[in-house]
Amino acid sequence: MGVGMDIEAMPAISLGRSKFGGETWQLICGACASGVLSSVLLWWLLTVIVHVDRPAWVWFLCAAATIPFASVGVWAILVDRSTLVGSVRDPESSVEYVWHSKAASSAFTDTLLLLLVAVLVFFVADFQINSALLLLLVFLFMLIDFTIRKLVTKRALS
Amino acid sequence: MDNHIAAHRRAREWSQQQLADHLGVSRQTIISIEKGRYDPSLPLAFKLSSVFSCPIEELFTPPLDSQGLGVSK
Repeated sequence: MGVGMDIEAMPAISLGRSKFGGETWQLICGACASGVLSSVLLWWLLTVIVHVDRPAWVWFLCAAATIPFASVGVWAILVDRSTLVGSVRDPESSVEYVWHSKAASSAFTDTLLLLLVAVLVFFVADFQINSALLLLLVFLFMLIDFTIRKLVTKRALS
Repeated sequence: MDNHIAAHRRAREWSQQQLADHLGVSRQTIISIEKGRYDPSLPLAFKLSSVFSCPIEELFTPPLDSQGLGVSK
């Protein structure tokens, strides 16, 4: 069926192309614009919600600091991974995709169980905790759990 | 599931990387399949069948049940 012919498919590019088509520069411009927009929106929402008395330049500085991270995040969502240098043509069929899927699925189940136990403990013991601290703990739990799950799955399947 | 991917690959004198390039997957995927630790998806199994020009049944052997029969029967 000539599967070998697919090897000379489209050339890989260091920053890739968008899933929705177009050139690399369009992907980068789109990611940067979305990064700026989402950062400004995020910090504007925080100023509205939190009501912390800070000069405007502080908020602009905070927004400017988050722009690179937001832009990279948008790029990661929009980029077609098969157009990146060193990528495989069919990442969904690769074992790495299975590692990631299994780890994500297990981490999600673990988080649901953790939240169930936490709700019971908080309700029965009438325990109080700062909501920001609670969210941070849940986030850290998910991060660590996902990492461990992925390492365990990798070890089992490779 | 047992498979004969390594034997077919060696018969063509391909490296694991060459087979991975033909299939569009990572080399680690080929390593895991050959060790029998990862059962490929159906589309990947069909690609393997196409690359080696042989039916899927020649590449993969289903595990036996308690009566010694293949699970697929």
